[in-house]
Amino acid sequence: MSSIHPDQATAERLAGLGQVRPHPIPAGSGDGTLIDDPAVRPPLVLNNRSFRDVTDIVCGYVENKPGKWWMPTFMMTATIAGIGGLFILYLVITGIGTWGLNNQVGWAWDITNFVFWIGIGHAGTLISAILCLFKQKWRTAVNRSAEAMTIFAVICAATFPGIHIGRQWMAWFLLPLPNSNWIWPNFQSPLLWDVFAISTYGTVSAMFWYMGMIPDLATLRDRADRRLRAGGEGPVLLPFLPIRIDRIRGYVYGFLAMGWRFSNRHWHRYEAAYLLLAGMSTPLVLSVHSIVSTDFATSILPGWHTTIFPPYFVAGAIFGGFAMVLLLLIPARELYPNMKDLVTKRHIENMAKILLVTGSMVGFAYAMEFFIAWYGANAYEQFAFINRATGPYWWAYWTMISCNVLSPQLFWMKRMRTSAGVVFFVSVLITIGMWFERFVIITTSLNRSFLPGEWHMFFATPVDVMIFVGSFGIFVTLFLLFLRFLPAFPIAEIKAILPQASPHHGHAKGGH
Amino acid sequence: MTHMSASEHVAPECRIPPATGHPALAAGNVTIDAASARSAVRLLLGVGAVGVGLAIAGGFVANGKHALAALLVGNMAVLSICAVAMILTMAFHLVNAGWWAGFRRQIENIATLTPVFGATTVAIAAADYYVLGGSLWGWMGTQYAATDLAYLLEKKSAYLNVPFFFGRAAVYVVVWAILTQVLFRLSRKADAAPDPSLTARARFTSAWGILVGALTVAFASYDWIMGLDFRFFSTMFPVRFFAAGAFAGVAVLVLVLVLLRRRGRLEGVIGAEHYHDLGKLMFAFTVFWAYIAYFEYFLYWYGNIPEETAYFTERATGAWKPFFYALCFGHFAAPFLILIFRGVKRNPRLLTLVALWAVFIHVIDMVFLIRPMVYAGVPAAQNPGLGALWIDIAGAVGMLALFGGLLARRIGSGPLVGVNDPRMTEALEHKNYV
Repeated sequence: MSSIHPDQATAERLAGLGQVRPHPIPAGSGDGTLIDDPAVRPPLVLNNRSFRDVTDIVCGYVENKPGKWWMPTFMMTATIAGIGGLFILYLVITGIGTWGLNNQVGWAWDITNFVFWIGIGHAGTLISAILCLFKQKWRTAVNRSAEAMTIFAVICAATFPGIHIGRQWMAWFLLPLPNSNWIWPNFQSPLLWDVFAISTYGTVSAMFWYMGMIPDLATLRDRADRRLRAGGEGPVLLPFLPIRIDRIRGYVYGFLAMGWRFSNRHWHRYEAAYLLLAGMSTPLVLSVHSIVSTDFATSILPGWHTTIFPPYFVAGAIFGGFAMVLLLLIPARELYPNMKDLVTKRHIENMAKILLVTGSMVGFAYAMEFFIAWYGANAYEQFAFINRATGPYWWAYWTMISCNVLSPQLFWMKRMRTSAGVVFFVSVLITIGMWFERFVIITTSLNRSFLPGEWHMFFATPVDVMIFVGSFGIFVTLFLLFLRFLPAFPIAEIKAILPQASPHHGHAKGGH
Repeated sequence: MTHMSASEHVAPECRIPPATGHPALAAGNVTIDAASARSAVRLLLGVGAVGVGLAIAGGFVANGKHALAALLVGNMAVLSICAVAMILTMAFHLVNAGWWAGFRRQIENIATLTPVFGATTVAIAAADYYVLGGSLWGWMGTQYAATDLAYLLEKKSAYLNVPFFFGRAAVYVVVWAILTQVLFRLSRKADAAPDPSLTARARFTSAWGILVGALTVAFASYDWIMGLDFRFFSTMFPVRFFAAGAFAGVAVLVLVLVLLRRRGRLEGVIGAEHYHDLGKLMFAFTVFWAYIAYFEYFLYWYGNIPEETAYFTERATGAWKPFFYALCFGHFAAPFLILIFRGVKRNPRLLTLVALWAVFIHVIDMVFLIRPMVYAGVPAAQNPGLGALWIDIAGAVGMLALFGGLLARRIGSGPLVGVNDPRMTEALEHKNYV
């Protein structure tokens, strides 16, 4: 270290080059981040990466050809999405009688899928906005992909109210638009509040996501531009259409970057706007799923009418959303080069801990519902809950309990919550469990009405199943496109959490 | 703990530099002699004794049930503050917070009083049962035996029976005593010499502790407030109780810190940056309270089932209506609009005013939850109205002063700051950057 001039050392440090040291991995700390000593803040980025490394890694996911797995996976999920789309078309042409609905269960998989997806749509803004307000630096590894996931999940969620109304071409009646018949939506209905809540949430989440990406889009623009200026050969669009891909990148990313020039003023305004959006998104996260819960809780149907629904739905949404983030990121960090440097084992452990907390919260809510159903001494309420656990849908109820309450309890053990494989497996279970939670709430309350003569079971039809499967296809396809064409990590924010960004860097005792 | 040895080889920039020798941690700045706290302790305990004594006297001269309700209002206001301090302590440990190291001891001090005020609740309930034969906790008495409600009581008797009630209460108090003492002793033990493993042990305790703590506080809120009206039930109730205490709990912490700063202590340990973040927490909790209280009311209002709305009809109409609106504005709208300003959160004087208001409105919230039970169903002629207001004031002020006195004694009994907290440097250098 002492062989170079101090000024040069400072210049290199400011450029993020610094001295390359092998990343120390203390024994028993996994990849070097699983250190529980309270006096240590484990590294958030591994392998002593410089600023330039971070730019190269993140831009590389967009600029380089993806692995051989990408195209077949994309084709498969796009096909599933297409098949789902065809089933939606069939539904629109034929009518919602093609679903397994009956007189009693007039609402089943459609609303279940809607609540399932809108719940998943929560974690993105939660990670991004709430963790931003709490100054949790580890958010930078996961926030961008989680925000993207939010948008895609909201798209999937919004499909279901749109198609469940029967005459889908009248869907615009969901909005309070002036019309010659003077027909307005029912402002007293929580279903209408849903329209407002979700469209607001979708808009703000999309703004939050997009605004965060602007500096990174500008980086992609500048890199393409620099390669063009350097001249030479580069990949072209098609063999017979010799337009360089970098030229297209320059235009598209340049358009999307809206003239961002990394100036001090730009950053200043960006940070103020980011904080404001984070502040606004936080109550939105809570409000959306609270409003969704009122779809059920404002009714007086046994099993739906309980006051804990709003916070309980929010906790469940965070729970399901984090599970989905893990489902997407754990394979991604295996498949993309160097992604394990950005998403470390500690990130996975942190998210596993959140799964444990939120899973226990929903467990608490399940228990309180049961207890108050008994304590409230309302015979119908009591029946609704006993019926859930022991009635014809007992298997759905116990699937929900084992997946949502029991499986995350594994994360009390450090070995379990730090193993990517176990966390992935539990996340699969949680995703299943959270779908069943909505199914249990919705269908078990409907299928046993007040008069035994009205009791009907619900049986899903292939149209029910395929539209749901198709929504997964849409979701994963969109996410794959995101990984392929947009910056999957916030480059500047990751640089800010690197040790060399700290003003104390290089001055600490023993640092040299 | 094997992972401790592993951390010896971490990169130096990952290690939080120790704060030993930092001028802000000089002995004179982080200790307060018991003698200088003694006058405050004596005064507050004196006021507390007079207040509680007056309330009890009121019970004999006016109405026993009223006196117990007045004491319970003050008691539950204090208990929720302490219980929230206990839960926040564990939450801070679990998220590996750094910025709280400077006030960690103070929040622990508040938390240690949780079992004390749990025990006083048991005393109030015991007085109700053994002296008054079950009047405030109506289900304990015999007055409903010949009414329509006897059926309901019988249905609930597996939970609402005297031995189980006191048995549960004993469990709550013991659990809180164990939790708060374990955490407090680990914290004090580190004062002797730096030992990060003590913080790691506190984090371990917090993991199971927060689960047990949340469950016991939840059921305590059912038993000690919701159970006063055995007809009422709401799954939201424990969350509502926690939300109420959270706003006032952070406020009490702010008040403690401001008072210590006024005494010339904690200079350089607690400053605008810490007040700013505590102010943000108060802001968040007033919004959280509004969210929870609103939805609890709204869902029952919308459902409009008489057995559920009776509780709110009693509180949102007639004599209690002003309280209903006072809470809407005083517990949410006003603090929201005031705390939204950055300058208020960073200014100790302004934040103190908001914190004092938070404690006051929290007491009003407890009055709103508890007091309507006293004269429910009693002919208006027998309701003394404002004539017996002195009992309420004596009870609430007495319990709050008792809390203040015990807290002041607690604060004076040891160092004000856990100076060897492994993350002290982060707390001392804490900045908001906005």
